[in-house]
Amino acid sequence: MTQFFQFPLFIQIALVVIILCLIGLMFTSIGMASTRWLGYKNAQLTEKYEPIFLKLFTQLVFDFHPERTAENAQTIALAEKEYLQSKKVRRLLVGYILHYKTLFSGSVGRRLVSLYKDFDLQRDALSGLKSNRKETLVLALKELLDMQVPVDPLLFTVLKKHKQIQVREMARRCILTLSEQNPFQVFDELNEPLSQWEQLELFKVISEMNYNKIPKFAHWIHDKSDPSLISLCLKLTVYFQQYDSVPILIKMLKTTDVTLRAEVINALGKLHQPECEAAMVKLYDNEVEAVKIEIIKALGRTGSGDYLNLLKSIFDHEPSVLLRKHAAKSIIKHDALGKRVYDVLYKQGQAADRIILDHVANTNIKY
Amino acid sequence: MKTILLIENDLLLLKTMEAILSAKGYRVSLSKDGKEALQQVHDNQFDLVITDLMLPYASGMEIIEKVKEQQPQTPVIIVSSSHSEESIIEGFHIGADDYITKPFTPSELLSRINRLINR
Repeated sequence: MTQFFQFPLFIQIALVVIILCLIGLMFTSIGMASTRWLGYKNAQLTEKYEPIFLKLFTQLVFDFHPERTAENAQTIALAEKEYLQSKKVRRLLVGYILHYKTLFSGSVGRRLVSLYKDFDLQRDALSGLKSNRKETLVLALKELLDMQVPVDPLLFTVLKKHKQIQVREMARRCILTLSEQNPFQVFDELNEPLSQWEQLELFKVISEMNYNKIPKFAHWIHDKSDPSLISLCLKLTVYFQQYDSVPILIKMLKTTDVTLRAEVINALGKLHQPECEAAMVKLYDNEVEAVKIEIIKALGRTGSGDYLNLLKSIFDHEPSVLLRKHAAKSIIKHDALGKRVYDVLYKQGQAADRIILDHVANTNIKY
Repeated sequence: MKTILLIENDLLLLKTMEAILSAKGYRVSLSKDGKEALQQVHDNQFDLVITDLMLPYASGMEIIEKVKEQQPQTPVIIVSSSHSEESIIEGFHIGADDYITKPFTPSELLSRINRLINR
């Protein structure tokens, strides 16, 4: 050691770096070796149990005969006794079930869920909910969600306040999907913005829900709600065509949030209710271009014909090509009424005008 | 005994479908990628071909074209996770006889197999 300090400084530094690299290399090699070892053990496990599981699935899922109760019960009891005492084997079986759920639907999907519960396979996921590791919690929640296993509501109460956002997001999805009583409490209790990804996931979950569980989403469309929640509820209002929400959406046009205002107008247009046209048109002159575009598009969707002259005027006088293009598109959406206006514009138009008109008339062009 | 060529890169699905079809009395040949499948189509005659679209080495569309070229009487079923209108139309356009999207039920697939293989 004393010799070390006798070396020149650059040699000392080089030696330290070499030792650190060797230590790093050693840890990396140990990590790689352990990953390979685990992979090898998993492959051995899979090789051993796959034929057994395939036979099990064939009898209890794919070629299932419910009247063979004694035979089925015997197979389940045998599996419980022979293979499912080991957590590794249970997790392997759960992996198969989850994979099959993505491949098969209908009665097979239901049968897989039933098998999961018959084998009491949720025990590992339920114990995973007590973990401190974010990844374990999220995977456990996802498994319980996929397998539609009801969970103690008190546990969700804790998880939806977890410090990790991924856990909170997953807990919200679980509450929405698995709660029998008041699943939309998650919206009432929301105190943070929903990420774009979570909005997408929640939309997917809610759009697949049983219709009689669907609430009026206008309930959350007001100034006190988070803009991300309002945005999601607007999309859901449109998806479920909740026309009676239109008056509430019209009130939301007063919001000072420009992005939200554009989304409200977009939703109003997609609800196809002409009574909102006057309120939107009133805003037009003082709006930014993005909102003006939404107003023009909405007029095309509602299509009452009352504002065709406005659309024509926009096409004739607005300098922005985007606004003119959308005005022309909205005119076309008025069908026969719009065709007359379109023809007049085409006849009276210059070459540049006709380029825009030809573009919007081409049904192969979607933008 | 009718012979079915099953082409799928998801090994679990491949083995499961083999087990289901064998239990129903079909002889099943397996291919886990496009290259193997093209070789099988070249070397053997089949009563039905079931193929995925997204495969390594050669796509399902290429395989269907090869089947229709070499064994025009052999019906083809596409089993794919692609729900896109374009994929479905293209599949029928190049000669597929049926198209099933994942997730599906085995009983539905079996009904379609029976209809095509026995016509």
